[in-house]
Amino acid sequence: MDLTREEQQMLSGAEGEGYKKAMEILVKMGEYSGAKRMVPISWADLTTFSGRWGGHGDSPDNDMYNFLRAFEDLSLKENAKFKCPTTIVDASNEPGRNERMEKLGAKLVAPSGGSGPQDVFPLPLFGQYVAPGPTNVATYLNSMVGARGNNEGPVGVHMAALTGRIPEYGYLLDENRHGKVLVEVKGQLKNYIDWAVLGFYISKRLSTHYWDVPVLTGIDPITVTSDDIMSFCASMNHPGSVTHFLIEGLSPEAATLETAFDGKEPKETFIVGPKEMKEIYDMYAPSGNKPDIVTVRFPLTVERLYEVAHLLEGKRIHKDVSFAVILSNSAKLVAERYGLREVLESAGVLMGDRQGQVMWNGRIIDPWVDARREGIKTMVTDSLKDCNGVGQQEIEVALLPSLEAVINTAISGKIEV
Amino acid sequence: MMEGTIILKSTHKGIGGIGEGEALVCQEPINLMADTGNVWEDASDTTFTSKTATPSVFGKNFSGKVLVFPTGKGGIFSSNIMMDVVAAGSAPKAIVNRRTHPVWAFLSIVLRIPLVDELDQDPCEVIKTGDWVKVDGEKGIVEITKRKK
Repeated sequence: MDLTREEQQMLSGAEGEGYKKAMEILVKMGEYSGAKRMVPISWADLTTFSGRWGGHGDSPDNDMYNFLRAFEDLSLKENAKFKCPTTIVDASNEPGRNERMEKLGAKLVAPSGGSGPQDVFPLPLFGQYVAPGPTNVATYLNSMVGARGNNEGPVGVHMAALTGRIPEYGYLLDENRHGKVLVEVKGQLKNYIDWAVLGFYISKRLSTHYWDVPVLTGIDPITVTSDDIMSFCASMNHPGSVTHFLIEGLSPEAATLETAFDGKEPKETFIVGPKEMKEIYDMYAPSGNKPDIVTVRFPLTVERLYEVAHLLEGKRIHKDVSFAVILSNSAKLVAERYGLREVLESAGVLMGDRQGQVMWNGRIIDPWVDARREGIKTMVTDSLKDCNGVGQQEIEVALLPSLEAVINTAISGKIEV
Repeated sequence: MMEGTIILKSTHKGIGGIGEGEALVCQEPINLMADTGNVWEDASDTTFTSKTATPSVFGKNFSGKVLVFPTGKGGIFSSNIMMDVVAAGSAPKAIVNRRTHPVWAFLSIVLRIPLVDELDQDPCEVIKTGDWVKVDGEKGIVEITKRKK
């Protein structure tokens, strides 16, 4: 690889063992992926946690956490700093963890803002190279902002933060950002859950070749909300791993189909219409069981918060149902200031600090890990990510087609579609 | 070279050194968080538990095997899980992909699991479960000795 003087200096160990080791890992990745050089990044995010399998932000009971922590120890000893603007969600159970990360130069993100693009800062701009932590953030930034990043996981983003560099491969390169697959969307998408279903279908279809960038046509740009897109990005990474897509007329690199495909023909075309959407809904159709837990998984944006508060005003969650939401950081402020928190609280809604957590028998649990052990039989959700994640606990997970149906289910204690 | 040995070559360098063992060939993309359900309780149990997501290897485990599969899928957690799996002494001997997901490439670098992808023939077709496979990450070569029928 062609390294700059500063990169060579890091690799030689002249700046300390931490930078040396990080650079060695990045060079190996670069050589393997055929990158010709490293590129400087505008931002790295170390938010790579999830319950027991914590990366950076979680409980110190797994080996990835220990691996990264040993790296931090070395950097702290050598008085090293992250070389680019770096953020991390404040979600560690380990005392002193936040102070350690701050000493290394990271800025803390309040917990509920950690897993989606809602509260990302500094917000990456078009054309900038970035190292995002959460998968759906990588997808959002590539596809809707036109920033360039790969989905590399905790090791990759940590090395990127420390050195301020990533090898130039994958979605950093022009030739890999153009469309390869044309997806003709037929029919109206009603809401963000429909968008999740669309994403799930596409991701499943491309699961063996997700690097072939899908281009969506047939979407009326004026009808789409940022919530729709965030929901779409999240489900694009479950049955498959689509880190970059384009929407005609919406994505900055897809003003027209001609631009999106760089003047070339798509190598594959398929249609997603009502029949295909139903296939996915049917996979997680409710059986009629009584719900134990009802969740709105993704952090509520301000828009969604208003919707939930409207649906719950003067109502009460059923006594046998545990219903939880979490608020994005901006929604939290709005909820406090305009009395929406009281509306939710007096309806009996639990407001957690962490995505996916619910109250069960008086304790906070994570259904992805605990559902079977805790004797939960049926969970109702607005999220295909939950269906996929909790589904492997061998309990029934039902996906409802609207936020209204989810809330009505929580109120009545029986599944309402 | 032994009679009946097939050599597949990558278009580029792989990762790590040399690893060899019996192949376990999975025809579907893998996400360890969803497809190997027992690792949640016991990181040494790498049995594939999903009949729907990975039916071709259902009930088999990849410890000590050369794991052959099209690519990784899902989010970032396969790397976190593999780190626990390796610490529990249950690592695969090597990995062969059609094309590797970056999350798996990084885990292979830091966990020193030899890995090769982008071969001149489709490894999921050419390699069968039970074949003896030698993976040279440095050279980007896979050597297959077919299992005796």
